[in-house]
Amino acid sequence: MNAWRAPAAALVLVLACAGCASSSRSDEDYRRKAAKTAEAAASAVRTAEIGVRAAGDGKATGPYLSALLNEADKDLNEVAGGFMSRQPPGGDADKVRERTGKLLDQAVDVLDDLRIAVRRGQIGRLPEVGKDLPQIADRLESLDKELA
Amino acid sequence: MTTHGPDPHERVQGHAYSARFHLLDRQVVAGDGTPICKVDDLELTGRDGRLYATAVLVGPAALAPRLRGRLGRLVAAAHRRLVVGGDGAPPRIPLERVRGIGAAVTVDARDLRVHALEDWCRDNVVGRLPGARHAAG
Amino acid sequence: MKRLLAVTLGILTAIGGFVDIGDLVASSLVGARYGFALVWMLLLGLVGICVYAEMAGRVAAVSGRPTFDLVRERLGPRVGLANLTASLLVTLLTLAAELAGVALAVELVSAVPYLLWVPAAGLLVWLVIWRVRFETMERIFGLLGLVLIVFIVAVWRLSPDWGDVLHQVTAPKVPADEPVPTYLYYAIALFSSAMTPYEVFFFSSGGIEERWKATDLATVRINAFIGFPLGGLLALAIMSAAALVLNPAGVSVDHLSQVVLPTSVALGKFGLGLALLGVFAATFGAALETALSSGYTVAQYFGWTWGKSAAPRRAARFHVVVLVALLAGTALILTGLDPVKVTEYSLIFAAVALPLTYLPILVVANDREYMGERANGRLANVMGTVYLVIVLLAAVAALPLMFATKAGQ
Repeated sequence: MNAWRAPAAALVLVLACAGCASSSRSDEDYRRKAAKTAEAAASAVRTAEIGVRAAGDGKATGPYLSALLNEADKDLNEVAGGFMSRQPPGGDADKVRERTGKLLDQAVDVLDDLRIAVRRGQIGRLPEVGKDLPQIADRLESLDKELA
Repeated sequence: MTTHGPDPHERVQGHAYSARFHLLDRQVVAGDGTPICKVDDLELTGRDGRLYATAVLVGPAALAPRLRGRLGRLVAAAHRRLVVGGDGAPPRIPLERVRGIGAAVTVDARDLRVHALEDWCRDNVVGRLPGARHAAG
Repeated sequence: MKRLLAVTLGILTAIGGFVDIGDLVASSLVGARYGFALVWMLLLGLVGICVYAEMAGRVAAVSGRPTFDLVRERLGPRVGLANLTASLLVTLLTLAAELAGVALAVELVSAVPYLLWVPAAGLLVWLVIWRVRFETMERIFGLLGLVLIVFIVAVWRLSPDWGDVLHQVTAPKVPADEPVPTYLYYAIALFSSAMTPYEVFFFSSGGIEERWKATDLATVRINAFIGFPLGGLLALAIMSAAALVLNPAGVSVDHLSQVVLPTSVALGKFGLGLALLGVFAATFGAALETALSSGYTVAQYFGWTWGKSAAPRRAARFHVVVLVALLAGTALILTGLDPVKVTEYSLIFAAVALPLTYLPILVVANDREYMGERANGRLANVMGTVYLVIVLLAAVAALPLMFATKAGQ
């Protein structure tokens, strides 16, 4: 039975390391993190975009849209919160942080508005509220490409 | 180690049963195919300088030594603490009850009681729920 | 119609392997992330489960012994117990996730948060196991799960360039911006979820509940060779729909709501409704399968009386195990754990259980004392051995890849 101890200890150690968020030690790390963030945010925005388009065409039901947009909003807020709480290591990182942060703020605003509208049952208003989604997603994607 | 079927004289020449491959860990079923228990261990009795299998032993007390190591000791200890009275010996099915050895070991299951836990679960949990007496099919 | 009804056990079993909540999300995620580049792995897993389901079903029909019976008999009590522990953990974690899946499908229709539906889902699953006939159960949920065919219709309506699709399937390429380990991680996830151990436990035990005999080998074979491919086809359709709608948009799939999005885009409200009905039936069917499998494995390891065909009183311990499994699954999900993550992590335990489950089946299917002239032919043995090697490789690689890729991030 003692033979189990060493592998078990190793497993715990590996799990513990995997669980920790890696901190950004250099500007390079920070850039990579920003690129990942932009990619994940673009995914949430694109999900909302497809949903809003389906809503505009009368192809999706209210409860479904409510869940879809709610989850997209939650995902985006998590991603944005995780990035903004990270310490930028140097001067270059500050610039990256400002650009990414501005874009994330716009995305969060639109998705929050969408969630509120759909909760109030204003399905018809969704295309109007979400008209900036394609453009925001495009900019997030090009930021991801530029930083990666 | 060879052991014998129900009647040593009926055994076909060259068809010995191996305790390890034909008996241990094999399913024990009643005549109608209802599963009863596993052959958790065998009771061996020495006679005329040879060992004969005389009974199938059932339950955690029989299984624990075969699990070996710390796990076996753990099961045995847990079992001892749950048993009140008696000598803690596992329930046994005498080999005379065995009717056949094939993909499963068929026994004469009349009046056979080998599992206290089954009785307890039936009387205290499952039997109390509505519909427990009726087969869903 | 009679033929179709005869394969419902295979269909219901395959639903648990291919379109349960974890696989719904995984197939969609893989389609959205890799397009058609992992279809080959789905097909590889499908052939594997067909080979072993046929073997396990044949052994059950000829010798009357279900799979976990063989596991203990061939591997002994100690290794058998290791397999029982690992299999039971996979099955329980999956059961918990399925209950959440049922509740999530209802949430998408009702807009009431899914956690409120979880206890109701658990109760309903128990009632079906307690009161509904086995054949009725497998017919209702097997056939209702086939409503997921709506994903095939959606793919057809999206009218992709079939030549291009075929090219992506036959000459798969890892996307340029994706690391290779992550690609391999998802490949193994797809493979081992196609071959999850509880499928053969359920399939062989279900065959015995239906009183298969050696004369029913034709039924065993059409179940294995038609039922399972139908399940695989549904997974393929879900993956393709995601590859066509979500992949170009760069969406990464994390939620059930994103899985059904392509049906909404392609077919509108009606298609979306059917997809949600199919998801409900499939996750409910998978919940039945995993709940029963928990009881089957434990009862068959210890040799207890088991089965839902007889009156519950006659298999008291079996029903207690099923009841406890359902309560544990419900409790686990009520803690707010992400159900999709739960099924992903159950892979760790599946890695241990896979080889220990398929080896005894292969050994016994060759044993003429059990099988007589129904023992494995050459083809079954070649396929069985090849897949045993693949299963071993997958088992060895699963854990390191999981840590290296942080579970596919």
